[in-house]
Amino acid sequence: MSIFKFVLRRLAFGLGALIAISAAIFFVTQGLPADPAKTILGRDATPENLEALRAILGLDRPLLSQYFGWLTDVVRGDFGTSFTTQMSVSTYLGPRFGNSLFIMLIGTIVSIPISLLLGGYMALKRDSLFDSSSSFATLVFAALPEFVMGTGLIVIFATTVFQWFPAVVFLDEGAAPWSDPMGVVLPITTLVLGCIPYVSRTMRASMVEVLESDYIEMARLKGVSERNVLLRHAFPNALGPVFQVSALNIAYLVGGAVIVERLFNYPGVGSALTDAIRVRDLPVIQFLSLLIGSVYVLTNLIADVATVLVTPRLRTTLK
Amino acid sequence: MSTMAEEVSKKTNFLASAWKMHRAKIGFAITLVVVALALVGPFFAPFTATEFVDMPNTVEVPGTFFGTDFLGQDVWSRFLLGGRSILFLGAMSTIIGVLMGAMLGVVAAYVKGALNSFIMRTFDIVIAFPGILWALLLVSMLGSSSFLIILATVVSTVPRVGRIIYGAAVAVVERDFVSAATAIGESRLRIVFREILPNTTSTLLVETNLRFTYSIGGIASLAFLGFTSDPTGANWGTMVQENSSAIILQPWGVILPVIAIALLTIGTGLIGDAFSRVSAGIDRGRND
Amino acid sequence: MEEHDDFIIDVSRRNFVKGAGALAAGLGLAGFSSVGAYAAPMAPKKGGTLKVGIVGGTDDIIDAQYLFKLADVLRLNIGWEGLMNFDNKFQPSTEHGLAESVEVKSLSKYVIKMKKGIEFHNGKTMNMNDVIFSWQRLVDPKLPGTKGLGQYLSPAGLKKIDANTFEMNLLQPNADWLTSISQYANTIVPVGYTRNGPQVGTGPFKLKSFTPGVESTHVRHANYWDSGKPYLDGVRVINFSSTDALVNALLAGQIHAAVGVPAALVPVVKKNKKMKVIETSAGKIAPIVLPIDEAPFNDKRVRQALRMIIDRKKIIKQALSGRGTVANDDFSPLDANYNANGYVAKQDVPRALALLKAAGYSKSNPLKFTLWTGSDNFPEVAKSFAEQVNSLSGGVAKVEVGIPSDYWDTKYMAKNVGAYTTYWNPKPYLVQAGQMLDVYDETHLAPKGSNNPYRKWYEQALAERNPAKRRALVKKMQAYHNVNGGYIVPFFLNVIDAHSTKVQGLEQRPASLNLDTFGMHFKRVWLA
Repeated sequence: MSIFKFVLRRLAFGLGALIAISAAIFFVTQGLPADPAKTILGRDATPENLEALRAILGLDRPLLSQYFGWLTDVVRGDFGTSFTTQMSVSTYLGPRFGNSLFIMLIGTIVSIPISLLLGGYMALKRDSLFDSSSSFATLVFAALPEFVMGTGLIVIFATTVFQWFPAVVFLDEGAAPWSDPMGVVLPITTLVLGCIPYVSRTMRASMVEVLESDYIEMARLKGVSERNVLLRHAFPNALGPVFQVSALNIAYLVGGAVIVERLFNYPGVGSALTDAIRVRDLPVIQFLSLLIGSVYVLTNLIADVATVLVTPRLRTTLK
Repeated sequence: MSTMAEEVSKKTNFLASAWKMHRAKIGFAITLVVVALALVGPFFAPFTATEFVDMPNTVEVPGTFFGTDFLGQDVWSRFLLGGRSILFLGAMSTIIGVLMGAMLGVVAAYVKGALNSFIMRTFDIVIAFPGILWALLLVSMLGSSSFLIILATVVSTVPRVGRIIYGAAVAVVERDFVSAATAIGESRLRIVFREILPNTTSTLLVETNLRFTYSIGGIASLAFLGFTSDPTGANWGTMVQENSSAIILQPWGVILPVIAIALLTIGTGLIGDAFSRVSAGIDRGRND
Repeated sequence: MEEHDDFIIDVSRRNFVKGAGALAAGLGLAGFSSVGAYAAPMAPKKGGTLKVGIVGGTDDIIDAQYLFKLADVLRLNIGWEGLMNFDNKFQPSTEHGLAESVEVKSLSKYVIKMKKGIEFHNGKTMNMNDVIFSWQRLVDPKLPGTKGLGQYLSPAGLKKIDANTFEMNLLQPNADWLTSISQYANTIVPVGYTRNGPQVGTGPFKLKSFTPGVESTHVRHANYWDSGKPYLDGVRVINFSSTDALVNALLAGQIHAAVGVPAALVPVVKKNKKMKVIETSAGKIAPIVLPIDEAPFNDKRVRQALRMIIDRKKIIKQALSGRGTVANDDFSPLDANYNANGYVAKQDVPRALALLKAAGYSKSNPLKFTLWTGSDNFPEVAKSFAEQVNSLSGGVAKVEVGIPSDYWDTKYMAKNVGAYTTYWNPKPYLVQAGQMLDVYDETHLAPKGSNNPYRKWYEQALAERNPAKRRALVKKMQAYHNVNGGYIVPFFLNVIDAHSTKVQGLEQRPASLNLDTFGMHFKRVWLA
């Protein structure tokens, strides 16, 4: 099988998954008994203006036709208008998307190298005190829910013990998140602490496997310097599984952002989602759910392809 | 040819070798303490969960250990009372989720063909969407009853367990004793439940533990976001949310439940880690 | 939630309102006074942008005449002004309004003369067409204005007299009309104003940008009519998702003022020497609503028992951290007619239990209901109430607290929802009664067209010019409501805001709106 064909097949599956997800999201949100027209009108709801608004929103049409209408619009790039803000969903979420992307990007940039180095070093110093204590520490952080970790950080570094960082993020209108560098420290730290355990533990396991493999043994026997053994042979071959886990973690960041942004009052897509859920802003909920689903599917796709590309063994099978 | 007896002794060996690891003992001890606290604690609560004790957010209140919370209720009593529901919901959703996942996984491994790909593709699709979001969508749209919280957690548990068990079961299906059983004319169902399922026990144990850890975390997170079945009842997740605003005045309302959830998830996490080390010799990722 | 704030005025004693000084005090402030001292006056400094924090979300709106939540009230007050508003003694006054004077011809005929040379934010000078249009928008049921006024005034009742004067001819006499006019949401907008169109008003600050759920910026209106004002260059309204985030931001110095500080967090703010708390009481209520035509509340004994069983002081301590005063199910404490019959809602557990028993409830057949509440509607009050009823009734009553995710949707809107909590900003008695009866019929006490005496007396009182007779009618209404009504009003809650000591011009005095009536459109506020 050629790599091209492989990518194409994964792409087809990703697309299928997205369509299934979109249908599930749509029917869970739009098909359920809660009436968005009532939500929008609130206390102003009278039978007449409810009817009128339902017609405007297209809620009087059959569910299936609503779904295909929505899907067609989404494909055309029209994500609808937010019920509550009356802004187009893309205008409303644009800046927030950037804000979320920022903390996730920094979270990734910080956590991946730390994790790779930590995991690699743990593997090299296997069964040492460093290895066992780090493995214990990563396990502890892996088990903690984000809101527990975040609240812990707030108690320690923002309110009760030290007052080093602000407990909430506060961005000026249109200002970039890096304009408040102190404010983003704790949210990013929470995300990083959530990511490091998984990637570093995978890296350790993968590295251990590679270090014990025959070809590293061979390389050593051939007299390749230890430095070259590690950098040229062991490290690259250990990266495959790490790509998988990193992809999962980028996707995890998207989900984790919901909690972290709520906790720190951060104006990103995660807090937009919780807010939209609170006020039943269906177009925003639907778009964000789809967006998050797409990020999941896409990162997994990239990870699969990257794994194939970096792992010499798999690369040859595909050829 | 491997026999049932061998498989059973494997299971005992599995637990025994897991128990040899320090982390298993530590994890078990921590889990035991928190579970005991959650189950027995309610009998020692000096006040009820909703009783008004004194002015809200006061640490120094005579007759209390940690003072009052955001609504003048006893922090210590609510802490003692707040573990049960999380533990119950976590246990319920884990049991249901693992059972359903295991069954579907084993069935998929055994049947092959169209049903196999239907089950596996459905798993893939559900996994392609973060569990907390499924839960948020379901619970926010339909209300936060215990049933829905369990359902939401089960939805994200089933495919992940299913995939793992599928992998383990496929290996078993290929083995001799299954074909032997088929040869002597045992019914398919009997094969699935009597022969295949028992042989995936170690994987199942690892999975159950892992899923329990994440269910607890997920349910507590939902409670933190305000989705609980009983808005006045005590619940560790809700406690964190309720008391975080006055954390400067009354930190205990946040610190105690945070420590409890942390210990519980760390404890079960350590056990799970010992299991998986014995089972596979490698560390496991979060989502698979 | 739509809210209005207004206080009763004794129109019969003055037929001509011009400025604040012209008013005689017709209303005794019933027992409420400010706690703090007035700051020593300093010369106001010009410039600077005030950052005001408030809880808000993506469902915030800006409409010159309409609002749902407190954040909408705040933004409305920054940019728009009405004909009149309330002075420091809660009297309708034209001092800060756009009207020059108001002449009361009769209880159903009012002649209003406008101030001259008022300029809108877009540079256009206000004329009579704008004024008439604004009031049409307010009373036309087809337009999204404040409800409630339409039953007294139809668009046809508005008549232009000359370039500066117009006339309001009411559909029925209304002794409270001047207080209705003075409600902050009854503002003047340019002809053709819509919620989605350009946001133009006459207020001291014009809107520059608005991102719902994030913030809005407002800049100084250079040609503002009140000369020398405002002092500030601009106001920024910043939204927070929760009160804890809001208070955190205030304490961190990220905002100058926080609107709506929860009672439980006051000690947190007071710990900080650079912060000042403004705490006033004007009669804001958070009643428990019992619909009187629905089981089990259709039994008068059940309603009586629930009123009687609770310890109101304890609810105040628990739900408000003590920051409120006891109420006896009557409302409008600043109304001259407040508690005219001297009714005291005393706790009497044995009698309450006897009433429940008489109504057929026992331990084996307890009174069971869900008390619905929501994050905007004082869930602490619902929880505290339920806890007291449950523990004091010894199992004869079982109240559950329900916090649906869709409070304003299915639970609030549907009939037969059962009991729930709500809130009302302070209003004169008759205005509140009118809201209760006709605008949001929460308790189903006396629907339109019913022969209920409460409604009959209400309509008579509105048309009554003689204050003594009106007082007698209100007294009858209160007595009836105390026995038959569906509100349990356990307390008046304090309105609490906080600001940094840098902010000047805000005072602690009884005010119908937060933050010293938002510093009167923020024109009194300056930064030291």
